[in-house]
Formats: sequence, structure tokens, C-alpha cells
Amino acid sequence: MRVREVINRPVIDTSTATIVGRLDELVIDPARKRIVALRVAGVKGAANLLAWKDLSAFGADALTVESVERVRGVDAFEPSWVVDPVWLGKRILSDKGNGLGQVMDLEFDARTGRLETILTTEGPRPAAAVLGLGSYALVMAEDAAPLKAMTRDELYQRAKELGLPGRSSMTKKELLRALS
Amino acid sequence: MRRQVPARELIGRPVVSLAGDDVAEIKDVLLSASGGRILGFTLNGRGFFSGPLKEALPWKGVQGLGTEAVMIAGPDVFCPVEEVLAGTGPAEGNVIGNRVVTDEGDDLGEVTDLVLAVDDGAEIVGYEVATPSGECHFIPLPRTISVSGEALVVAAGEQ
Repeated sequence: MRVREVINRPVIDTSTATIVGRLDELVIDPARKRIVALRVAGVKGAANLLAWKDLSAFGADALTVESVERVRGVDAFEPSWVVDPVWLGKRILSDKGNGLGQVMDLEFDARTGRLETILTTEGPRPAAAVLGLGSYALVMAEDAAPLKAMTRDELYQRAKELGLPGRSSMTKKELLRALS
Repeated sequence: MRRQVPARELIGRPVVSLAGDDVAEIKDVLLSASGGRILGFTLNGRGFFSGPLKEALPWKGVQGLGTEAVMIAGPDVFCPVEEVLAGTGPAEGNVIGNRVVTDEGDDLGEVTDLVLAVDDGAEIVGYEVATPSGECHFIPLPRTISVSGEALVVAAGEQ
């Protein structure tokens, strides 16, 4: 599924069978490369954020939630937890300082919330290559070296660059899983 | 992919962390006394009112030097300017504006820029020199004999 195609999809409260809002934005954490929250427009009051774990389903036509109460205000979340990076339209730089175009769209897995592909003005790139997203640019590794081909040390280096916690005790398999 | 660029192209280039923030921009290129090595860069802040930063970027802190940005792991690679210049001779810093003289005593003009060869990193491959009549020449580094705070001495030969 792509971000641009899901914006404005209705959010339905399954306990009342009513539409309680519309999907406004996906909050995607660049470190974990997952959707961590959904911004919902149209809910009364200051509530407009739904944690990914509180989403019941991300369907082709609508998103479902057990109850509209699951949609909270930003104060209900730990400050460090809710990141608010802007992905679409962001300039992309490689870790070597070269321009890689701009972000056109993002492809994600609707079941797990995992970010899979960055669709850029210069073609698709794997989300695994994302190193960071800041105010100025999205930074991606220039070498599209597949993670599977990397040694345990190389994987550890990549995990170190990303600041992944618990990396020193991870096996090669665990590092692979954490990085992809 | 190696390309040759005049060092002035780097001036103003954003310095971006791997986290994606533009933490500074390049102000000047700092050279070793022999003129053959880049020691690092002095920095300006980003933003309209930003002036020079106290910190400099040592060469070893450069993660990548590409067409759009100079990449660093993060702002902790910065260090005071004195540290970047430490260990070089008395003639370091800016060679721009130096006179260029051959070892036979001919004045070739004035250094207008360094020329760098850039791929994954950058090295100085020579100097851009403007003659008094305004012509522009490239003098490759191997011809350079010595560099001081005032002049560059190069081997005489075809220009």
C-alpha cells in the first residue's frame, strides 16, 4: 500500500459502526522504519493520534478501530515516542553526499506497518537503506548492497550507525532482522 | 566517479549529518603547509543571520563529499579550528591570492583557487592561477615545489 493512496481513507469505530474520522497522515519512524501512529482528522476535541497498536485493521477501503476512545491527543504519548518527520517531498541525500532525488511516495505493509520501499523521483529504493530523516534531508545508503550479503561485522557497523539498541549481543540473524 | 572541481564550488555547501540535519555550511578549505593535503574546513552556521562557527570540520570527520552535500556522522566530529591546523607549518590556511613564481624567477600570476579531484573523498590535484592579463591556467600539484604564506613556487616548464 502507498501513503498517497490511503490519505483520506475513513476510520470506522467498529463498536458503533460509525465513521469517526479520516486518515490525515501516517507517522513513520525512520529509525524503526515502521508506522508508529496515524493522524486522524475529524475526531472531536484535541484527539487526533492513533497508535499503530490500537489500529484494528488497515483495509483497502477503510481503517477500523475498536473504539474512537483509542484516538488520543498528543499529550497521551511520550514526547520521545511520537516522532513527526515529513517524508513526502523530502530531498534525498546519499551517505556520500550525492543527491538521490526527492521522495514521491512510500510503500508499506498494511498488516505489519513496516516501511518497505521509498519511491523517489529517480526510482524505488529499499527502506532498509534509510539512515536518517532530519529537517534538511532523508539520508540513504548509496550502496544498494543487499543486507544478506553483508558479514556480521558489516551488519553491526550499520546497526551502530543507526544507533540500534542491544546490537552488541545480537547474532547475525538478529541483526539482519533488526536492519531490514 | 572521479570529477575535478575548483575548491570554491565547496564554499556554501551544506554539511549534513547522517540523521538528515544541515548542521553547518562550508566556509573555507584548510590546507596543509605543503598545500597538498586538505586538513579540513571552517564553517558558517546555516540560516540568514548565521556567521562563522567556532568549530571546524577536520578531514577525518568527513563521511562523504558528494555533489550536493558534505556528510558527517554528527556534529560531534567538529573540533576547534586550532586543533585542525595543529601540527602544520607556519604557512597554512589560505593560499588563495598567493603569487605564483617559478624556480627560475618568473611570475606566473596569482592563485585564484585550488582544484580538487573528488570521488569518495577529495584531494588537491593542483591550483588555478590567473595571469596578470587575466588568463586562467591549471598548475598540477606535482609541479609545486613549496608554499608559504605569500607565494607558491613551481617548477618552470610549459605553463
